[in-house]
Amino acid sequence: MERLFTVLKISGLTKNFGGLAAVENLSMHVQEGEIVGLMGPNGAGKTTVFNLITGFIKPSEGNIQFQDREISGKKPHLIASWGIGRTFQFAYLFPDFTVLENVMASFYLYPKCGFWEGVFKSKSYQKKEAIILEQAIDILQLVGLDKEKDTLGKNLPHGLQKLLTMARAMAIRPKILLLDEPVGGMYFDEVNLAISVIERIRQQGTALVLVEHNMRLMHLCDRVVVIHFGKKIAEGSYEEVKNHKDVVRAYFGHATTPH
Amino acid sequence: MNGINLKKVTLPFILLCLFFLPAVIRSPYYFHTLNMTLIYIIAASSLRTIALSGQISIAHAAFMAVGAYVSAILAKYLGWSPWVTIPMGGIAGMLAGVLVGYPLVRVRAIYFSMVSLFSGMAIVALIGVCQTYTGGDAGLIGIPPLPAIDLPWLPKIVFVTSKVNQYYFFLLLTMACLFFLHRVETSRTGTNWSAISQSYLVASSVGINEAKYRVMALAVGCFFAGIAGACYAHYTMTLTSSTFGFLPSINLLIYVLVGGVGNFFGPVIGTAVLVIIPETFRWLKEYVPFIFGGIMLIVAFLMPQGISGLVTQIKERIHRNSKNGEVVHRA
Repeated sequence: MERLFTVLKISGLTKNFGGLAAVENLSMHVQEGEIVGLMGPNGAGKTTVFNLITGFIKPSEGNIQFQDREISGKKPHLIASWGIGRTFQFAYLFPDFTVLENVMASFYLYPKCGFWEGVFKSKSYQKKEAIILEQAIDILQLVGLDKEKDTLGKNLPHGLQKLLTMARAMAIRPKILLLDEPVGGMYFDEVNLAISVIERIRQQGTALVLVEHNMRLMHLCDRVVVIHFGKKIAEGSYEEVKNHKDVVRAYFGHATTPH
Repeated sequence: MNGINLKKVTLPFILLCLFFLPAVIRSPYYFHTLNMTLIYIIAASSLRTIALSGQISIAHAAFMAVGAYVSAILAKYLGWSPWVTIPMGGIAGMLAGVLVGYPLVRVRAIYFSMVSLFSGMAIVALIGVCQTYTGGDAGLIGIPPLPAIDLPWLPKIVFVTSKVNQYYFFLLLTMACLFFLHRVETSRTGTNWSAISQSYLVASSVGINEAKYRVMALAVGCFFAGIAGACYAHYTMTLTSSTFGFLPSINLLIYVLVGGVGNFFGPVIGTAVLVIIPETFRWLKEYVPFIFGGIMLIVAFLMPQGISGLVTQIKERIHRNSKNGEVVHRA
């Protein structure tokens, strides 16, 4: 087996909100091309971990290393530009942009356009705009939204909005993509679609971290990390973790598997 | 398809009318009104540019004041030509915008508006305090007017005695400013502004630097506010700080809202309506605030997207009616 490169390494991560420790001494890592599941009951601190990694909140203690670069406490837009993409638990998007515009607006980094070339609409600028359009359509095809490209973001059904947020996150060419409940509130068919999209994203070599309650998605994961009250209580394959006594206690409140 | 043709015809037609207006209208008084309208169109349009980035500034008249006083003082005390000091007024407005805007990046939405209001009042108060140069509350008088353009091979263009020549200058300047603002808005910069105003969380998750683009919007908007203010200074040749206080800032905002924020020509229409209508009813001077209020109520209730949204609104209404008709017909 080839040795895999560790993309993201979190060690001793702690976040206190007043006296409450939302995340406590968490350590985990994500390797190249891997899908890691982040599991835990409601309020376990999963979304907080995402917000800490992507810089939306600053950690109280601990280190987050992304490709040998210390990123803890850095600004969200810088972290995004280094290659950490994310989606939000709720389908946050640009509501007044069409689906295509949503993805095109997300191509802020590749290619980057200056102020003056935009004013003068220079040749190089027009070329860049054409590239952006082409890339945006490619990504919409990847997530299967190319037929909806002229629908306004806010008029899109919830499930497709979530797919659109994935498309948007792909636009920054992430090395690692954090998906916060990517199939939350989706219908059965939409979940199938989302799973195929996630598999396609993985095929492109992007590592993924999933926060999800849907067990069908957890089967996709190479490794699952379970947290409870901000602490890691188990780590391993989904099958191993499923019957771990602490995990069962966290979810069901008693130590034995209910039969 | 109809709309595009209409747009392609309407704009050149209106511009043509504006160019030949001096052939129809003779009274200098009307041209005075038109000149003021054109200056305020630059200011209102640049305020809308700032609003595109999700920042509703209630200090825009104060940035006009910065441009006006810088240009007036340079021209009056240093004797520089207004052709040089007007762009410098713009740059001064831009610098003031960046200085005020940078610390305000931390506050959003209504909190931004509140703090911008106080920044604007602070700027106006500062002008009142620096009496030696600004004349304080008594005002600054004796500002040099726009000097004549005396180019070889061309007849000399005099501005002081001719409101019509001034009108042509302001018309061309306004067109140039609007062209620039339109270019910025339709470029990727405009897209980024719109993105951060719709969701700054999503925007920063795709790498858009919210702070940078918000300050950039203020820089662009305040540059043109400075230009408008400088034009105002050399046009009226007197300045009092109260011209740029709280109420004028609110008025600019009303011009934008009445015209419609969603449309590029919204502020143009809004300013035209709200400057020209009160001027026409000048003999009812005491009642002008009521006319203002009446227009605002009509717009708020009947035209939620502003006057510029009226065309789309009517189109939608017709479309819906014809659709209903179809259904009835089928039944």
